Amino acid sequence: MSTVSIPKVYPAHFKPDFSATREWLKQHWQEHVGKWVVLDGNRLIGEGDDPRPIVAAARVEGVTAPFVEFIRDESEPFMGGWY
Amino acid sequence: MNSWHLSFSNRLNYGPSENIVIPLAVSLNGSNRILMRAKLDSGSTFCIFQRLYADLLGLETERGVAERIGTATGAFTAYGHEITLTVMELEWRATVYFAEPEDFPVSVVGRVGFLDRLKVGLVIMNSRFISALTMRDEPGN
Repeated sequence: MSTVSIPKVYPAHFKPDFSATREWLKQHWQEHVGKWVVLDGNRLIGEGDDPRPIVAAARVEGVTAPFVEFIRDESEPFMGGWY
Repeated sequence: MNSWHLSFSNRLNYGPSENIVIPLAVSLNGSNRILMRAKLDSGSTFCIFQRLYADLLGLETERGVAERIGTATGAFTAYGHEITLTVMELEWRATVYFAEPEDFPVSVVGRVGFLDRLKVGLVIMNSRFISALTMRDEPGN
């Protein structure tokens, strides 16, 4: 292994709240499969193949911590398993 | 019969149809903060994120520490960068790896940089998905 990480954990200064985002994803993920979505809480800022311009616009709008995720088709079981 | 007990300071609840995903904030010392989710993968040596997150953080992906990551079906290259991770009320700096392939489908948190920083408990019984986290060196644990 070529990298040594710093082991200390601290109380967070910023405490993210995902509750509104999680509810939005539970209700709407199927409408956005195969796309990146950018959210501010439960507000969809935008979706597309490239979230970078959407995030840039959101930051200009004043969104300091946008939620960004690629929506996969979760009907397919997932296996990670890399090492 | 022996029994062991752990206590946790933070708890995540999941619905029965959801995967075990960890909601986290990533940033570079608090700047360019992004909220995201990553699957918990105890079989993964590293935390591996889709490379678009590196772009969103303002990182130049290929300037990181290159690693070849083995999988069951082949290998890919990923680049390590030190960033700040925030999960619920806990925060730490760690090297995470951003996958080189643009179409890398998921982001995962693994052993180095995530599981080696926390104590994590999982309950996946009776459709109750609960992940519980606490600092590794928290008193009482």
